[in-house]
Amino acid sequence: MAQNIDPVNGSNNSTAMKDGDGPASATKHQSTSKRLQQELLTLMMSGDKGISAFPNGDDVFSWIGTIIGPKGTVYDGLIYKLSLTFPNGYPFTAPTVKFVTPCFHPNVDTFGNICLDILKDKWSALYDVRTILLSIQSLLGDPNNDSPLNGQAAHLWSDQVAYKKLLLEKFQNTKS
Amino acid sequence: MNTSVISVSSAWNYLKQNLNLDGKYQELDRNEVDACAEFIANHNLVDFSKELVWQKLYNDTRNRIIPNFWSGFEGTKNENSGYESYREAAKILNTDIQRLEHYFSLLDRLSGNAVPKSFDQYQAHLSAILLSQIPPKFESCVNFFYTKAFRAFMSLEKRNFNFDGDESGDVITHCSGCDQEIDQCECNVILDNCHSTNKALAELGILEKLSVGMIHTLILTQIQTHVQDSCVGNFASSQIEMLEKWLQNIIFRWLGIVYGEDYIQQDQVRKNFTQFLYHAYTHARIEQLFEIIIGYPESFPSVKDLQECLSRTQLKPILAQSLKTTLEARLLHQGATTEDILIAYVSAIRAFSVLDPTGVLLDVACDPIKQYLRLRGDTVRHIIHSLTDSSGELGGELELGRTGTAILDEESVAAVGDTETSTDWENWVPAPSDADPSKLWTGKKPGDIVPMLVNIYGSKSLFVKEYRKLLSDRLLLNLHFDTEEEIRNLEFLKIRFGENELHNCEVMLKDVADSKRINSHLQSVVHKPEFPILAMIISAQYWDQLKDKPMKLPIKIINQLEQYNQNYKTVKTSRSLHWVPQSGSVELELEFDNNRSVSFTVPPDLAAIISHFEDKEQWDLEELSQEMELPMSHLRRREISTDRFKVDENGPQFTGHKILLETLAKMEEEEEDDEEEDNDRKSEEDGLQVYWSYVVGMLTNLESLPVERIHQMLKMFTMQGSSGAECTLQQLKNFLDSKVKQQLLSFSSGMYRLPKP
Repeated sequence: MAQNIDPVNGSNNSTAMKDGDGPASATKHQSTSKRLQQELLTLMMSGDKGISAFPNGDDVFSWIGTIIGPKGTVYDGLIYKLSLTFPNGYPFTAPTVKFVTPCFHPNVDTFGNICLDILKDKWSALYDVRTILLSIQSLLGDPNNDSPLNGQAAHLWSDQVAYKKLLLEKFQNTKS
Repeated sequence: MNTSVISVSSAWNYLKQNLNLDGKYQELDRNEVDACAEFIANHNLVDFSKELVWQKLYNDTRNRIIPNFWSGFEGTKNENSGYESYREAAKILNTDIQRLEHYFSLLDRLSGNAVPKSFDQYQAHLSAILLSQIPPKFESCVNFFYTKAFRAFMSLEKRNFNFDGDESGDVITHCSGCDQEIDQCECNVILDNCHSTNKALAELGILEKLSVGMIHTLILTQIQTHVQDSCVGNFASSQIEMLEKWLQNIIFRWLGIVYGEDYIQQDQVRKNFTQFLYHAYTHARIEQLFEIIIGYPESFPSVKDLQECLSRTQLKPILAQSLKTTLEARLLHQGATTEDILIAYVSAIRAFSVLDPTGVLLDVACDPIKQYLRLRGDTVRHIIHSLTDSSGELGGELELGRTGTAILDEESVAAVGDTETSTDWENWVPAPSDADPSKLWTGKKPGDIVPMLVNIYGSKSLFVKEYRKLLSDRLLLNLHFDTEEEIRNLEFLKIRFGENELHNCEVMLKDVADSKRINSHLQSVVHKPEFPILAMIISAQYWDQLKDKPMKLPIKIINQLEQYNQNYKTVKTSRSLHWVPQSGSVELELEFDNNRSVSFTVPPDLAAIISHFEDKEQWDLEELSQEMELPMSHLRRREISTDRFKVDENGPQFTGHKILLETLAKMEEEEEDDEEEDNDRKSEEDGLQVYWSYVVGMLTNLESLPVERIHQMLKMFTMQGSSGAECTLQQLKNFLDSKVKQQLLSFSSGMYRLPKP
């Protein structure tokens, strides 16, 4: 009977085949792209405040993320953009995540590189875009000052008022 | 005069006197001329005197004869006077010139011509001088003369040969040629006069020069009138042959009478007039083309004619242009129904398949129809309807096309398959020069109606989608589960559109068949229910969204349905039914006090209302509305239609009145339902709502995007079911614009962005 055809499978196949048309994605694993699409769906439906991400353009392997600084921290309300690049081996290999908006933070260097354990040696396939973004968001208010990439920021962290002043100054600079 | 030397002055005087070189006009004596000739010869004065004589002739002609001739036309006022003055003038001119005869013979003698030559020479001068002095009124005068003559000629012809088949049988009492009673007819006289006048002018060699322009104009007008007359309201017969015969019998004969047989033997003359005839005829038909198309195939002969004419004339662009204008003025406006336009289009396709088998003309001329139909929302529906409904007016038209379907398809398949090695390559012709190069000219024959109609939209997927809707509507109304006709249609459409496109429709038909089987199965195995239920079980995956308005059915019906559902589950494990209570229909029989019983087939909501009155005689509108979970407005609407059933004179009413329903004898319920697996079907707007969070995500991260980009990204990154609502660019744009109105988006310079918080 025609009704017995699994509609979910049927639809996924056709979607995947459509995506396979592009030369860029043709070389990448279809399962990866499927997983990323699924993650996108989850992220879109989750409705988390303050974090968001979306594929950058023609490719599902490169995303732009947005983080709003968490309330009650010096970063409150500041909006930062990040780039997320997913390797073919994702989710078994960690994605590369960088700040695009310059971020004055003990664990972020001037090039936007982030020192965060789950993006390096602690990466696990159980993490996903949403958890990465949440981790980075919480990293903003809770830096790891033991291994700073930005010495000045780490040094200043103890003085939250001065830190906030400098941070806002720098943030305004990047905006203008 | 025997000496060879005389004084110049005496010679001059002699000649002047004898030949009237300076004097008034006077007829010469033959002897005198002879004497003069001798005198001239003797004195070696040949060249000198020849010069003198010519001089004399020219002067005479210029100053006396010609003005004399022209002055005859001054008084021309109407046709008769024009006719007379032309005749008179020609007569006088001829006499005048005949009087110069002796001069010509003298000149011939002096030049030693064996054959008379000087008259010819004079003729050339005469016409030159004549035309140099032409007065303004002359043309109309000539026109009068020949018009009158031609009328006389026609009238005589008619009487003699009964040409044009005057079948009225009336005795002609009035001559149309000379405006006289028939027994006093002057046509013959007029014609004779005409002959003599023509002859006189022809002798002078000026007939053609004077009259040819007017005669031709006259004839062309005649041709035009005749063509118009014979074409009016007459599409059903071929005219070309008749017209050619007419040209031969009347026009050429007339020309023969005026100019002599030699004239009409000239190829060029015949060709010109024939060509003109075709032009006139083509123009006349082009003007009627719209009627011809509408009247096709009755007008087939005219189309055939037109086709022949088009091959001889270069009027295709004019035809296309004129048809376009007519179509826009007469067909493509608000007042015409889509069906009419389609019928006209179909007729046009058929007519043009004869008129121009290459299809180029159709393409050009009927483009406005296509453009216009594209603007009408109901076009697809109408096409599908007429395709599948053979009883309609257009259906008959299309039925014709349908019988040829398979063959035509095979042809086109073959044509696509092996264009390279086509066996017909020897007969290949390039696209006509008027083909639109921007459109790929495939050489397709325009005879096949269905693709032409589908091509109005240029996409068959739209077409198929519309068909699916139509089929769904029809199947849901078809409560006898009878799908034979639809299957036939579907098979036919499958040939056209391919199996894949119509897969959904096939499933739909299968659903109906399955429903029928399940119904009969359940009825046979399960103990008899209170009333029979026939369910239309449709798989939501493949059917278009039903309008599922919630309604609470009376409890006993719900129980029955639940029972049915249970039974269904035993047949089909792990499936259950989701009822759509407002679709379907109920057959019920009402019994009244007087033992009268009446059967009705009513919508379920109405049946439910009636059923409620079974339990309780009186309901408040509000109460009932709560009970049935229907808005009061809905019930009020129903009240009106209950009235229409005329259950009783008072009619069932809801408030304050007793309902007069006695028994609800029998109830047969037919319900459509969805399978429960698919509760996530969404209407179009809901479907787009899914995208909203994507759009927000997109714009949060990518700041601002144009609608095209959003559309593309949605297509790429969202997971859509195969039957899922794929939104078009336009739908998306409308959706986004509605969000702009709700101030959830902002839009500037072509880009959408999220509003600043």
